[in-house]
Amino acid sequence: MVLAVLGSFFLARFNEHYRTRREHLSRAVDALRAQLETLLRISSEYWASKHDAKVSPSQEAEIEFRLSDVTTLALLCGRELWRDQGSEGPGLVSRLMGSVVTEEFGKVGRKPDPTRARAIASAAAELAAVLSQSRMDYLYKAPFWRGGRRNH
Amino acid sequence: MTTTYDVADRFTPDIGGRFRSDGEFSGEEFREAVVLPLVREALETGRSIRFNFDGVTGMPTSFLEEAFGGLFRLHRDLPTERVLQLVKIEAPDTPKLWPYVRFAEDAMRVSARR
Repeated sequence: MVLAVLGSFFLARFNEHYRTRREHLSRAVDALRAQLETLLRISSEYWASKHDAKVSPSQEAEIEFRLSDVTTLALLCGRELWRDQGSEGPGLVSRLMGSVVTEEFGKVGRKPDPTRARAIASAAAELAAVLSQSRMDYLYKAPFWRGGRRNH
Repeated sequence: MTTTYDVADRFTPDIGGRFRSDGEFSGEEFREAVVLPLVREALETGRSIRFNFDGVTGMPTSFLEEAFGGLFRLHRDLPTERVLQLVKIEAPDTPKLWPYVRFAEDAMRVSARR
């Protein structure tokens, strides 16, 4: 009887732990996609316009903030893509950074470069796709004892 | 042989913007006061140099582009291949900074190709 009570207690705790983890992962991926959409919009606007950093550095500051947030969320969403400095996760985020921030970024008298929007969109789409796939792998390929739905 | 430069301890944990006009601890200041002298020393001695960013509160991309991308763009006398071999950027204990480390390395390579 005691064993049955203890067993059901730990089973419930175990189930709750992984349910929370699954929800957390899903929300983090959704938040990342929303941040990427915003980053794509503001950085495309930035590169299409003649905004001058001397007038106000607010656009550059906002883009830096979004890049930082995307980095944090990407790390939360794809731990398995983040084994070391050379792994896929840091590489994808770095590619996105490189598409947004060039030697002209933040310079006084910067010239617009509307073609940059395509490179930013491509890097953002690749990052979103890889992390969405990573979430699917976690939810549908991982065994149930790791919070996945396989064998359920 | 390697020399390690701990950015948080020896420069600042709170990194600034791109140019000196953006405020203290800028990428321009870091390049001129730290990176360039250390790179020239490394070229003379043959000792590689590691810039360790563990402990900084953040790594703004414009700081990194100016500090490391600007190295070849503004100092064209530097032997690019030799410098790329000697300079390493790292933050081994801070996974959140790994994309920034990759970005800084790429910024150096991109400006070296131009």
